[in-house]
Amino acid sequence: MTTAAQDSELLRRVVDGDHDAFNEIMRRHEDRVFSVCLRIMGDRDQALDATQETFLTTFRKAGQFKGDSALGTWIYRIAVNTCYDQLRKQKRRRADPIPDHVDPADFSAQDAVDAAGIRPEIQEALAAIPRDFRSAVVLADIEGMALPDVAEILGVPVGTIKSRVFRGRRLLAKELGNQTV
Amino acid sequence: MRDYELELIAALVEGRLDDETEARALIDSAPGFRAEYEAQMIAYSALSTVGTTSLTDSERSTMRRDLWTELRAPAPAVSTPWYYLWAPVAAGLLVVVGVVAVINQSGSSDDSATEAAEFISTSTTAAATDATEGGALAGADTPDTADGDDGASVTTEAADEGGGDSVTEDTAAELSSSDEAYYAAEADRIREEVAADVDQSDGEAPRSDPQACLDESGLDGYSVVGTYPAPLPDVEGEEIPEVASPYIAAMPEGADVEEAPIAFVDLLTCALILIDR
Repeated sequence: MTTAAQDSELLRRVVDGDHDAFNEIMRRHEDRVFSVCLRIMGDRDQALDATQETFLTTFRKAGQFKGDSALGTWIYRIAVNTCYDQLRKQKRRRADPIPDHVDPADFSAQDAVDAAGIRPEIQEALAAIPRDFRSAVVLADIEGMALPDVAEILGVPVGTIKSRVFRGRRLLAKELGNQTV
Repeated sequence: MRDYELELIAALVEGRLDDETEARALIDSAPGFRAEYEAQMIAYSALSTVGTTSLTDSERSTMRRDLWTELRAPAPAVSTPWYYLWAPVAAGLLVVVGVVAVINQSGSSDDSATEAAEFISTSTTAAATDATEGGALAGADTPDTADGDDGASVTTEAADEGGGDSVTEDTAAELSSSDEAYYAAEADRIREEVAADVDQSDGEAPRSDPQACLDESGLDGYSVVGTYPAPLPDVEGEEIPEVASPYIAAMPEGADVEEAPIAFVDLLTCALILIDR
């Protein structure tokens, strides 16, 4: 059975009330969902909240999955929209800054970098670019998803994704350049 | 810079080209292309250093525990205050009282009395219908989020496979779903670019005064964000709207850019196309 067929079967069992099937869906997708949320939200705790909310919505809406797309694509779309909802609720408040000084002997500072899993300057630059561009470069350039899949997740045409990735990189480069000034 | 040139630069940056000759020649042909290539490389290289990240075992177990706790919790009862259901009826009655008062003050002719009676009948019927629907909604499923704020309605849209997180309303003309999707995507792009101070001048307007066209469309309190040419077909077969006119994008003056409604007006006819909210 293909992965897509396995996912569909698992979701069918979830609709029938099989909690083990949902645990299996989570096992297959939670790390990547968390990674996407972390890059969009820029804060580990917020990303954990968004990840949990994503799977809550997935469970509650399992019966509405039409099978037109892969289950993973559907879940990642829920994840992105959940992140957008949370960003709106926060009124575009930025994540707490990671300490500038990272001393190898200063374990708490290194922990902060590890918590975000990304160099601070890159996370700051990502946080500074518009949300839709950020999502596009996160999904395409960090998560390595194919552009048609990114387009399906974000619900826009492939040409729009190409434009967003291109413009997102341009803005990101500008932000990274500003950080070195 | 044309789409083909951007595509070629992107392909070079991503290492997708078997033969880089044409792309290299393009970059060397003008400083602007080289600058664009270097910016793309800076960003792409930086992003490629971002490693994968996973949940820790503790985070994983905590998240699953909290998730199942919430899924197993009983749904909170929806309590609808009585005045919420009957407010429309009360409003209708106030209208009736007001109309009667006006008629008594001005003296009534047969025509005005007839109109008033029809208006009272319509208002009262509408108010009663609203009260009935309010009662029906109170008995509907509980929203997914318990806090009851705007996040609830937005979150329940999160699983909609049919579209993203913006809903188009105020459509002045019959638009196909691809047209609506195009304008919804354009509205999102404009919001993001205006917030990022990206210049919205994009081609010459066929009319010397887009604001006048906007005013002619009947949109009060909106100001022009930019004027845009009619969309061109994408080389990869992307759907384009059937509407082939250039258009104005406008938003309410003083609105919060990232959440503002974006109105699209046909630049040739000055007719409203739609408002994306």
